[in-house]
Amino acid sequence: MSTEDWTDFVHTGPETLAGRYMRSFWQPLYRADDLPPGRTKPIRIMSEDFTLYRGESGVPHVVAFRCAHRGTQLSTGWVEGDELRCFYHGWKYDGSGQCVEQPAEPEPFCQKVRIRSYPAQEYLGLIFAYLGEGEPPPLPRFPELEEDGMRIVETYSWPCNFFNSLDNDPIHGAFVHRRPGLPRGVFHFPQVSAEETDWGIAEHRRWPDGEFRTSHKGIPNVHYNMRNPNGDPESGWLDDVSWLVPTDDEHFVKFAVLLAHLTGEAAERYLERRESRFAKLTLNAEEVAEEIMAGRMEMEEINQLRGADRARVHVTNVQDYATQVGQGPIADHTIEHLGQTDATVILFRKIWERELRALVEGKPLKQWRRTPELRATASDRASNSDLHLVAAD
Amino acid sequence: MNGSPNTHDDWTDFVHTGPGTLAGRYMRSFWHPVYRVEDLAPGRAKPIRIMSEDFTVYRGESGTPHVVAFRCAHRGTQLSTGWVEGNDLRCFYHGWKYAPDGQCIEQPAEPEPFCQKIRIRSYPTEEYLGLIFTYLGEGEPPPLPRYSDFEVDGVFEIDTYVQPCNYFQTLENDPVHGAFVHRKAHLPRGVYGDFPDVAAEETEWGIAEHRRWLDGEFRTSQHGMPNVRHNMKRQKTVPAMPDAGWADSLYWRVPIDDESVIQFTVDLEHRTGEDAELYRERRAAWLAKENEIPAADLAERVLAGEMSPDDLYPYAGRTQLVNVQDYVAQVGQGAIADRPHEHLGRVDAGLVLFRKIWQRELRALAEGRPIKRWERTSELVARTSQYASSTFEHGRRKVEA
Repeated sequence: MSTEDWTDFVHTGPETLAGRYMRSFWQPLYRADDLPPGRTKPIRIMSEDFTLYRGESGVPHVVAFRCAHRGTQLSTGWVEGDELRCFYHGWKYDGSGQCVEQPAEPEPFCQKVRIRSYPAQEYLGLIFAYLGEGEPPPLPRFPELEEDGMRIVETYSWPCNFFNSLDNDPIHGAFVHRRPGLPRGVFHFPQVSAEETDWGIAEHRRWPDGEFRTSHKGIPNVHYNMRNPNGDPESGWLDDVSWLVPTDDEHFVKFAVLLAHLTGEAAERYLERRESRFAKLTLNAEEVAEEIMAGRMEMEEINQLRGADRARVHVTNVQDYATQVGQGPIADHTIEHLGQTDATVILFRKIWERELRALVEGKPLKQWRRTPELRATASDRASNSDLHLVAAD
Repeated sequence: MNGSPNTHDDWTDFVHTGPGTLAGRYMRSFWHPVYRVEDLAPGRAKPIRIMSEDFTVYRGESGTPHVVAFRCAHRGTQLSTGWVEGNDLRCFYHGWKYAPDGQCIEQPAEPEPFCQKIRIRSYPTEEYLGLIFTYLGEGEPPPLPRYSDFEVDGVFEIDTYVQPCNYFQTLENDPVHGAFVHRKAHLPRGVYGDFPDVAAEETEWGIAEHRRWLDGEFRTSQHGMPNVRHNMKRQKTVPAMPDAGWADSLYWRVPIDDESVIQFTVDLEHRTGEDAELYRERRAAWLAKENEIPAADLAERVLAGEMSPDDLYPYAGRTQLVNVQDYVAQVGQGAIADRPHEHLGRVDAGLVLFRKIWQRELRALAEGRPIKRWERTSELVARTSQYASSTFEHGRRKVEA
């Protein structure tokens, strides 16, 4: 595979074209709550390893994975102030990657030693980093998620390419998340249209009964849609912005930031209901999906679950996992047969191709930006979500 | 040097030891321990992997250990699954039987046996210091090196331990890492024990490595080419023994393959008679506690970012903490450390010298020139100053002072 191949979106390691493109955007790489001050974590993003740490002051930093001295893994070291000390021989680095101490060395040569460091910022409960070359662009803001309300950060990691998941389409819900009560062979699907926007593409769905939803895909790997209230009596639809970030070519992490427009006691009540819903989840969605993919369980066993049984597993995640991971670690686009309902997938790939080609040929890239009107919307009444239907049961 | 790394003649490549590699050829010109004696009962066979090659080790019913090829010459099944009969080994699949020298001596189902035409490889094997040693090289083996200072009365502890990284990383562990890697729990953040002055020199056996601290404590350890160490260490017991001295520790780092290593250790505690009995009992009590949690489990959690090294201290006494810490630092360098990107300083003088010697010897081997005949003389033994405790306790004394 050539590094100049602008039809290859799936390989994002160092030296790949898609990897170069992806690295020209800020990416989230950790949930802020999972990294207390003074702690470090090894992280893998786009087939590269890094060290993430949070200084004792609370500021997050991203630096190289290995110590410049003898290459041991820096995440096993100690955070001291805003600096990181290697576990093996105590070399200390500041947040810029500059070596500032070589305690056992009779004639230190710190000033000659510097490891890479990467701009990092905390925003919306996530730690973002810019892993590309040169000056980073400003970190994109989402004023909608900064509004008053209850903000929730969710994350999961699946064993398939990030593009399998980005290519998930607006029609699949009628099948994958099929309404349990419908007679066999009957489906309920929307009319779909899509258009390019200043941020990526807008996807519109309209169902025969008048329900409609618009969601947005932000180039390169962001998705903004409205999350179904899951039958919650107060929350209404939640703003849901998610990033699909490659861990390597066969794994990705999804980071989602949700905003429920609730404050005060209503927010507290919502959180309690949400926690009690989670407490009932006794089956791991990924494990159930793997059982289905291995042929030891059938999807219908999950689809037909009702009431308390259905509350035991995150059904939507089982269904999405089985279809997306079910496409293989890297979906083979060359064996596909796309139809009219795949128009949004085709448009999204065309934009990616156009931009990758511009990058190869040194032509200007489109400068994506999200304007206030590029916000996800949904009609109040929703019918086509399985969890929603659970509440109606 | 021409060509890419890992070519047959690359004398800067110490890490790849599979068949056909230069470092592998060098390593195979020495005897290596391959199994612990107490783990191989008479009449039993085991599969072993050494330097990316598979072998069969078995102990004849008379008690003599043998190392032969991994597979039967007939249809290639694994010989360790067969039966030991006397000092011979019979294949599980169709019953071909081999003598310890690898000669096929029976093909029971064959109407016209052709045993005399069949021979598998066998390797010179000897039992010594509680370990089974084998010579896996070509030609006549050199005599098995002896360690007369270990051929004495005392309490022997023979141990093995596996790490998922290249053997050279464990050989290159250096004399100043202790202040960091084995840092004492109670030191304030950012405070480390003081560091010894380090010196290293080539000897008839390999390298002598000297450490001297400000207050006069000193320690010397010996590195025997190609993969042996002789150190002094303190053995812990519960309850503690009143007159704890230093034990002699002799150990070999043997590649299983290029990304894993097995260490064979012979520890000799100098106690005899009733004192030895008491020590054995108390030492067993200590080990029972200390082996509760496997070192690798904790170390992998640190490498995965689930624990920090400071979170390890509460496990002291329930795991071999020093092994956990060394595993984190050494396996943390990657399966095979990326040496071209290192930045070595003066404290690394010992490992720079070690690599130079290896390079010199590999180059001589590649060019067909004589290689140095290493020999451990009676003065090349590990030493320590008598009053010394250890690097880390030393650091504590400094801090408290």
